Amino acid sequence: MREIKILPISRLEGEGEITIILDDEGKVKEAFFHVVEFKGFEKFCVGRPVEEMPRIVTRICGVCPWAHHMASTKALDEIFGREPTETAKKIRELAYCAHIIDSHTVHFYILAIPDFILSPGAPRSERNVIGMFKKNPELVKNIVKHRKYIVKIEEIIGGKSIHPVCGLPGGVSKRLTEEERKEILEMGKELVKFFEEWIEKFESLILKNYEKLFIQKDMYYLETYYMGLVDRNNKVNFYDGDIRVVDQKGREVAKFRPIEYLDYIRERVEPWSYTKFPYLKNIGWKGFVDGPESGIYRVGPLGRLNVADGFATEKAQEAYEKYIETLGKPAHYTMAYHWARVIEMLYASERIVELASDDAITSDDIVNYEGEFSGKGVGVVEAPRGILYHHYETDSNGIVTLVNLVIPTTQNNPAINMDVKKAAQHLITNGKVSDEILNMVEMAFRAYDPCLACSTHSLPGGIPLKVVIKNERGEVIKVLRRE
Amino acid sequence: MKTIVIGLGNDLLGDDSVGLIIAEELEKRLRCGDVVVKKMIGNAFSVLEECLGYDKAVIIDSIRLENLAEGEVIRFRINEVTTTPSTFSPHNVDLITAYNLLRNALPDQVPKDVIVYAVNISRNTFFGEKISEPIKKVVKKVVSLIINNDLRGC
Repeated sequence: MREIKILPISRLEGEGEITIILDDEGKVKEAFFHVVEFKGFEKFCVGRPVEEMPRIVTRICGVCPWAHHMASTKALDEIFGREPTETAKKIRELAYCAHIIDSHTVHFYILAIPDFILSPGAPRSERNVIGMFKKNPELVKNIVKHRKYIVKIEEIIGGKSIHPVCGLPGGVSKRLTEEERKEILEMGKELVKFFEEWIEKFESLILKNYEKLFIQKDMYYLETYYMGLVDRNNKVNFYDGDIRVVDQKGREVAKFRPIEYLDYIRERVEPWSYTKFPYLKNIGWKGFVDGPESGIYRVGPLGRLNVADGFATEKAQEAYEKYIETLGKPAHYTMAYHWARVIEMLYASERIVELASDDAITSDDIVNYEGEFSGKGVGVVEAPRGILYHHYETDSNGIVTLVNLVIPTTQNNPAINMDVKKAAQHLITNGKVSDEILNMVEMAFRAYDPCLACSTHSLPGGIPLKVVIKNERGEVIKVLRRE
Repeated sequence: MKTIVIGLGNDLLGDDSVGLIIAEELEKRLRCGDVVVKKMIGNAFSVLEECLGYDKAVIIDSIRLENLAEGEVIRFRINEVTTTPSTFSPHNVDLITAYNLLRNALPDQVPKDVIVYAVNISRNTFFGEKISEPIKKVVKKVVSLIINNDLRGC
């Protein structure tokens, strides 16, 4: 037996590693995706005044601070018993839609689509965003140009583009001026046009050329449960709603309020991983298997589109219908995460336009100061990569006594492991492992956009990748190094 | 010359915050109006997007290199570093990849000169809001280095 490790050496919290174990015939016996998860925040925050939480939790990750900020702020709404004003809700959702696009654009355009625009087997030195620029500079220039709009919107509302400080219990700290509203509206319109074009481009540049990779059951395919936030009409909503769970046939099996999440989710620990493995409590843990008997569920763009009955905006709904027509519902294809992501960016843009078109969003009524302190709150939002729970409890002075964070990548962790194993088993035969094969194994987890709370500002850059091949006695017989 | 100075780090991770502290100290000493100082905890792509429209950027961060002593400071121009952009990270972009992308996509907006100061630290995975004594001693030195090398007259 020999062991292959795909080992990224990152600088801080969130080290990830893929281990593939081959038997003596060179077939994949097991595959694991490990994450060294940094759970220290849950302990570190105990003893702090709870009102500090929305600012502290943005330090969890440099890529998705808005999701933590917003979930935290919503938990504070409950703790202080303050229902946010209508204006505050609109401003929060507007900023949050911008964040969804911010995160999705980095993942989709910079990290994911080089695999498709340049092919999974393209030389590694070219299979990246720089290689994509060389092939199609205008495509990349346009992406960069539209990202600037997003950063600007986040900055206007959040005070800072990256680590927002705007959330308060019952509202937001700053109102929108009429000039800002107009500016956001114009940028939103540009974004709608851009992502409308990308719905077309996804089909012509990616789906058309890689249909067999997207729509197949040999790998990148799992029949799991799905979980996501929906509005009162069961439409996708990133900011607020109830949590809906559907089964492998798309039937609703649960719908609950955020505060009830512990009645539906349980977490399991495996000895070989630092990360927990959540599953549906009422279905139970049956190991790393899919199907109706297994409580494994998926979250994120694929999960959201599977649990919802569609989108509340016209163009996104149209794109969603095409997606369902092509993939069926629920869509179990892991590569469909990418397609779902593009549709979500269109929806978020349309929602930005809707919200910024509403003159009432500039009202001064941005904070509700009235409420009854409860000392317990669960804030939930759809983070770009799936549903995010922030659960806090405090003593009577508002000092934090309990913090529980359930993050999307943790929830997807069981499925990621299964997807990685399935891809490795399908692709690796007779112990032959090429760069293309390794990349295609990586594509199985890359589709999920897993957030390993990875190093937020790596210097001097480049994440080394090491593949170690060992014999059954543990002796290294070959090392492949990517740097 | 329009210049931006960006201090990077996580202010809850002890010595990792040294870039932020240097930026704060630097801001206190600067006297000229065309230098903007910012503190960020962001990913590389966002950091470089922040630099767009400036002629020069100075980025201050911590680093962990085994072949450097704790507190040792390295200074380099970003275009002097050659790393092969990795497609592995599922969730983030490294500074060099981000720079190369933006330099190609928006050549008129990316600063002509991007200089990085990196302070070698040994611990960056422990919670704490203070930096260690050895790293504290480096702060003034780096502030002087930046003023003398890159912000003369300020």
